[in-house]
Amino acid sequence: MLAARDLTKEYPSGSTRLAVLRDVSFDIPQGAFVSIVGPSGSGKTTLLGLLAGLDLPSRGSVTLDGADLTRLDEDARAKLRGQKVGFIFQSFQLIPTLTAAENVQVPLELRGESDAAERARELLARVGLGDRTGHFPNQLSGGEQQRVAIARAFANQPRILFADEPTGNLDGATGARIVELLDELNRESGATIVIVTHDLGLAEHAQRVIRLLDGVVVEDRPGRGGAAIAAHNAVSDAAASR
Amino acid sequence: MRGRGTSGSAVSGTATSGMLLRLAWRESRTARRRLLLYMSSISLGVAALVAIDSFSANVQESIREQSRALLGGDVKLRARQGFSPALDTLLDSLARRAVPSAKVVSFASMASATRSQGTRLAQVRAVSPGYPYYGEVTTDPAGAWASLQDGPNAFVDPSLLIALDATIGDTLVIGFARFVIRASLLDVPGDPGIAATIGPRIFIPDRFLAETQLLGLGSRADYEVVLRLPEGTASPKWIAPLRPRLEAAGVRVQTVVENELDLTNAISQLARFLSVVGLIALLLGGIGVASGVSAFVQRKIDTVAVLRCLGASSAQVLVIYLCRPVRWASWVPRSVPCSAWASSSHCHKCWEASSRSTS
Repeated sequence: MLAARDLTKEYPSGSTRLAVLRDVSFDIPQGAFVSIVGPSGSGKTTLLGLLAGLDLPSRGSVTLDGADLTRLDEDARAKLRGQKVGFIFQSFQLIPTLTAAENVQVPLELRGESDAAERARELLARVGLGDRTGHFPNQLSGGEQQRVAIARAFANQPRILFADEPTGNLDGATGARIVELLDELNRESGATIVIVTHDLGLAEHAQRVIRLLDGVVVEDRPGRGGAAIAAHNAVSDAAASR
Repeated sequence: MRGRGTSGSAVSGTATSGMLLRLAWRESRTARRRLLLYMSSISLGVAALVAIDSFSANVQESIREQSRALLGGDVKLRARQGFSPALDTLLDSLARRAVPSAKVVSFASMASATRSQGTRLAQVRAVSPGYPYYGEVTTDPAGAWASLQDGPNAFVDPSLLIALDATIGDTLVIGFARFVIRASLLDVPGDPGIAATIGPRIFIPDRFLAETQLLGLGSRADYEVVLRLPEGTASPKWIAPLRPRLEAAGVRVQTVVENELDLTNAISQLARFLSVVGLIALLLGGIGVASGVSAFVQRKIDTVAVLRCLGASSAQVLVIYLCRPVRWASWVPRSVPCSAWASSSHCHKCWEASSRSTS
């Protein structure tokens, strides 16, 4: 479970301090698919950075599976990321000198897994790139690169996956396939997925939508994914009771 | 995806050094040639500086060992005009005090071979018995130097034999005197071989110098006397009382110590010059390498940030990049990886760069 409490992030701006996030609080249960939306400058990426332990809040706390990230030092947060967190970036952030398989191997090797190469091939096959394992990032299309990034993000079997505009650099059709893949992986792995996006269509895929405006949560409601699941569950419950 | 591989994967918890080295090797894929170039440049530069220093030290050591042979004696007296009767008297009195001396008169003259009728401008050196006191003149045939004073003999540079189309045993005419070529010179201590390229050398006994009738009033000639001091005598101290008198008579005095100092100073200045040139070249190369490394590091910051995002500790990042030879060359502090280099600010940079436009 991920819990944010009174998260505030301020940056010095001349003689004053600019608050990018103010007193943001919410809980995200394990296995949830949550999207964070809001206009540019609303603090989405800052919030994601704080939730992932990439940055520290000016005030407040983030608790991931019982560990308060604000009380951990840098290496401990990195270790926690290696064990429990996966990342997907808008610009993929694959290491250009490594092949697709080697990119997926990195988190596995950093964890000391001896069968990293084999697992990387399995993961790439799972995202439909079984025949592109030896290709370098510049030999892959944007959608393929993002799929490699997804395979890498799931390589360490994360408890939570953060995706920052995962479809931002992709065309609509490719973006939709990526969302489907994330949806599938979310159901299959039980990992929590937190997506930051401008794309309201993508946001509505989530079970829950958190909307930010000027660093404050102004809306926290179920998404269509959540509504669909709730409707599905209601139908199932009704059928079961008959 | 969660269940996949869970049971089959062997997790040790931390990456082994082998894994990190493999990762580093793969990650260096595009930079290996550049690394080789950087390392070669630095190695060559350092090797050149060491070689210059070593060369200088060896030459100076050789000069110290052979300083007497280079001078031909312990003290050398040199004059532009013939030695005055007073100087001859002084030399005679020194000889009586166990300080023998040998004279060398050097001048340029045409020499011709009677058989071939060839002529050539040569450097004639008329030497008295005993010259040189130190070192050995090597000749072809070997060991012939001792026979120079036996008669009207001439020892010549091999280049003169070629120029005159002469052979050993031919007659050589210098001025009005005739000499027999007894041997060719292979090495004369204190007389650099390069001197022979200006004019081939001819050594003759000084007692036949007058027969040539080449030297008279106003003739251009160098007059030298080398003295051999008793073993253990400090030449500067010994000559000190005589120096004012000699210098007043237009005689330049040079002791073995001064000669050694002159030569070692020259070599030392040359070595210093070469070292400065080498150092500047190395510095410029270093600046080039540093800027190359700096650019390389700038390019790698994103990769480091990704590694940190994926859970690499500062130590792991350090190992990955330290094991690469480019780090050995990164003596410029800016390019040295440090824990700050792999800090979350860089990790966060990756995040920021990736999503600059989203919030």
